Amino acid sequence: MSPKPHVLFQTEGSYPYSGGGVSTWSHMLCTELREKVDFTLFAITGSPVVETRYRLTENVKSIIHVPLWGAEEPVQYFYKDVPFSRHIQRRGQTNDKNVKKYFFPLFRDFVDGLMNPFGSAREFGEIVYGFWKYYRHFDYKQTLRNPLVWLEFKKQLSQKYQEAENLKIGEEPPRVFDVTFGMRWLYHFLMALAVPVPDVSLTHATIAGFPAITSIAAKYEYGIPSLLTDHGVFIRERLINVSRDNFPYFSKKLLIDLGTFITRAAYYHADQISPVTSVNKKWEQRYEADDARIEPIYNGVDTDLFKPTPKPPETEGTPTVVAAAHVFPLKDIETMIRCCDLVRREIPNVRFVLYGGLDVDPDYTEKCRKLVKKLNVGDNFKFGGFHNAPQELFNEGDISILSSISEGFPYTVIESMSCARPVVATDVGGIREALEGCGELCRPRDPQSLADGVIKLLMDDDLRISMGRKARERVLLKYTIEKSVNSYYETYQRMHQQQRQPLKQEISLPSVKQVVELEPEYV
Amino acid sequence: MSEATKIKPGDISLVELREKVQEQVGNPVSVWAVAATLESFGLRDIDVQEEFEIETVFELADEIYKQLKEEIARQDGARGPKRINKLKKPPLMESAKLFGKHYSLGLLFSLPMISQIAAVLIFRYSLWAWLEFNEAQATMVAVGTIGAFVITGGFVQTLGRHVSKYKGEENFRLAFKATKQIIGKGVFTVGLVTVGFYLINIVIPFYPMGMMLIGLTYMVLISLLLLASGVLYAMEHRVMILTAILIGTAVVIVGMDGFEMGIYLAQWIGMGFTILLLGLYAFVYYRLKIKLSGQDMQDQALPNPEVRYYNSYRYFIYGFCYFLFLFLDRLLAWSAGPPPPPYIIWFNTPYELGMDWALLSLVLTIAVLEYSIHAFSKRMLPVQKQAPFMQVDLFNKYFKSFYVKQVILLLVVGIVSIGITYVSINSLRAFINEVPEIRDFFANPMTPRVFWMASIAYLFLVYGLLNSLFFFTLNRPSFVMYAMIISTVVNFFVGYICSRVISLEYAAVGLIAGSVTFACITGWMAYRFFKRLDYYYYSAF
Repeated sequence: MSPKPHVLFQTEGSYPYSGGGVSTWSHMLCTELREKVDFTLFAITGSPVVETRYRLTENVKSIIHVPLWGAEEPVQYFYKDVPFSRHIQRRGQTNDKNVKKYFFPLFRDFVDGLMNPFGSAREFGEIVYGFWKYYRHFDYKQTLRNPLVWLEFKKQLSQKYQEAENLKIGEEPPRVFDVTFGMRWLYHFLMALAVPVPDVSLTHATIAGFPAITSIAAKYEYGIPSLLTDHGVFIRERLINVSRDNFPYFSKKLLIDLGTFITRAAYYHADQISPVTSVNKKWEQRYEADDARIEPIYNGVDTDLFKPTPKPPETEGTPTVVAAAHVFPLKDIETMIRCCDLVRREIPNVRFVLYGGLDVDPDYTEKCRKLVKKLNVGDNFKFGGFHNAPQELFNEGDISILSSISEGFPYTVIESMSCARPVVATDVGGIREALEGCGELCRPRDPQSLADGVIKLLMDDDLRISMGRKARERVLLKYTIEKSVNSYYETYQRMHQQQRQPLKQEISLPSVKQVVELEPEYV
Repeated sequence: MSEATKIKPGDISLVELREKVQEQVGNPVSVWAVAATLESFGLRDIDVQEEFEIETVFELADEIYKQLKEEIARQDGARGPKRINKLKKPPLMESAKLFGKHYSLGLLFSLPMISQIAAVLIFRYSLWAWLEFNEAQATMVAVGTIGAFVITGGFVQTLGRHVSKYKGEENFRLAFKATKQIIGKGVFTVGLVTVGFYLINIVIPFYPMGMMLIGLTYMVLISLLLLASGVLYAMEHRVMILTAILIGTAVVIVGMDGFEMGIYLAQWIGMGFTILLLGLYAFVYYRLKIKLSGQDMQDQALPNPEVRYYNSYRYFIYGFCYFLFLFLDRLLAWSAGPPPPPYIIWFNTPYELGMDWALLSLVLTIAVLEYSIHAFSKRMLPVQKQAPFMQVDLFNKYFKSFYVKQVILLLVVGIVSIGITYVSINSLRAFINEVPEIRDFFANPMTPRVFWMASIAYLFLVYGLLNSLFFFTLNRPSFVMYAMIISTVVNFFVGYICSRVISLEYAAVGLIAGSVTFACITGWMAYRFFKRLDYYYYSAF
């Protein structure tokens, strides 16, 4: 056994190809553990055209890139050591006979599960593993392009929707669009099934979604333990986003049910689920994460970097409220602007400075700009744009503000606290857990509530200073980078030393059993 | 939900909340979706406890979900699409307008070629034609032209495939890379073939070396021109192609009439100018697009060569065979007697005139495809959204009927085009005594005979191309490739036999046989394709 843990670190739409909170956290983890842990990154992205945004440390041994869309032959990205001609050969093996014999039984079980996504999560895990195992022998694209698979999918759906009476109240049967696109979505979203699992000590999925497919496969095949970190809650965000999409009913249902299927299997099979805030628990528990395996690991902040300094001359003498948030609806910047309007009635020279990207949602940014104009708060509210030295921005203000309607465990709150700047924030997600006693918690979407908090802290110097001091102490005690990284390292070490027990020995579904018995692997 | 629940459907705040949820998500797919949506409004357990005396957001979601479902069930259409008898078709006027627009666009795409015919008629010369060419000169230019089309055909098809893919993704950096890579290989191949022909001609002297060199020069220049135009075709900048060709033609005219530099030099400079313009335009366009699109990823790479070749070979083979198919009859006719040709291939004016005459009918017919394929793509999604899955056959039938209509439209336009072309050119006989060129045109009965054979062949060919476009649209290039390979072989054997057994102009029978084969194979495939269109649409990834 290698003395160092080797982690398969699974991301989706984030590290190392995109910026954002999860990427910052991932980079910090890889960098801080450069001497102690090796990483193989497993990065699911939308497009095959990506570029690493971070200077990767030497302990990042390799990247397995899995593009879901836009690659005609995605296999070339994650099977780099195998010549493409071998895959073409394997397509020859993926014939009707093998598809019928090995794929159909699995696929039927899968479609059944998809139609009933709150069925047995254990069986869902077996099905995921069965597919993964099947694709060790047969080609992914060729299988799903097989007309018989399409006919089978149609048959399964037809059986369910043959009788309108089978529909629940208010349920809508599919249209052709739902089924053609639905099957295409299955091809794209489940791409991780086609990816081989490297020999690692443990898997660490950074989201309870499609990257966790590999964790399930690794657990069944090799008994590799898995850790799952929830920053937000994947299924909750999927429910929100898909529900709001302009798709027909059945398409939404399919996408959500697919997410439910994968999330429940992921939670069920994870050895440890570590949300960044215990607030996520209520969702996780409803999706098969039992309390015994949930162990929050809070984000940590670099307290040497984020430390209190005096306000710079530009803001000296001006009551200043700083915000660090991209301008998009989830951050509810409109409420922040309205809050500014209310505050300036009490404190006319107050200044709100919002640092954050303006191009995430240009329409929303424009809407916010118009609101500033409409409320005539241009002198009090400033869009500062992206700030490339976040450690400095909190010290520009007296306090900071966060008006989000949804959050996990935001860095912006603990970073501000680390700079001894109390925070006025909405009481959502894990903010209460982080902020308790070191700032003002307010109702979301309530400008008056936020304004009351801001006025209270700006008017009362003693309170503000003592809260700031307390905030810094709280961060030093609970939310340092060392503490956070050590928690992960301890988990990695424990899992690295854990006895492996491949779950494939306990398979119950016949459809999976017969695939497991197929040896040797073709590629 | 607990007994203590105080929510009633009439509660104003609950009604508001329910409406807000419905406004956001429509018909909710689950209680969880409602709960997540409520949380996204900023609602927390503490809020629902205060406002609704309910313990959690999930319990509130449960209540709202039930109410919404009941309300939706009360409304008509609650159970989604009912069984329907037929799918809505666009109004006739709308289709007519669409046809007018896209048929005109289709004609517009032939303008570069038409401009060359017009230039020959008005000025007596174009970029690579001249009315005064003798048969030896015409032979070398024709052989060079055919060589250029055949050599570049595969590259131009591959360009179209790759550039339009990356352009569709707005990735101009990769489109540029793909263009450079394909053009590079194209130019290399042209060079290789040119040197090959030259060396072969040294070993086996098919033509005197002077003639050979002239032919090869035309072949190289026309090849480069076709490759450069191929880039702009793929970029859909067809007006620029026309502009560059017109400017190049003007250079030829100035060279001939202004500087009297002789036809070869004038045409070579004219073509060189056109190539330069097209190349420069493509280069500047790409650079600008890359700069303006703000794509900051410098290290984007094309798929590895193995994958690239695998993804391209069907398009390449099709493109190569297609142009070989188009010119095969000429090569067979011009290499047959009697009288025996002085060299292996010898230009035959009456035969070429017949083919050119038929080309006019092809231009008028082929423009229909622009409409058909646009209408196909335009209707695909709305019809899928309209058709209940349980009546998926209705969807397939709809497009089968659409296909039949396109075939009828094509046949009508094709037959009318042949008629118009025949009558309009034939009416020029009225000037037979006044215009020597017209007298020469009608002097040999072979010309109208070839016209009729080629026109009929073209009609079948265009029908095959209509099918091919449907296959290409849904990513089935192998259907087209195999059909074209087989048809080319048929074209060759039938053309060879007929031109040798009957008479040289019956090489065109090979073209007919090949086109009929192409039409039959693709037609049969189209039958299967439209019968299971739902599958082909799904699996077009």
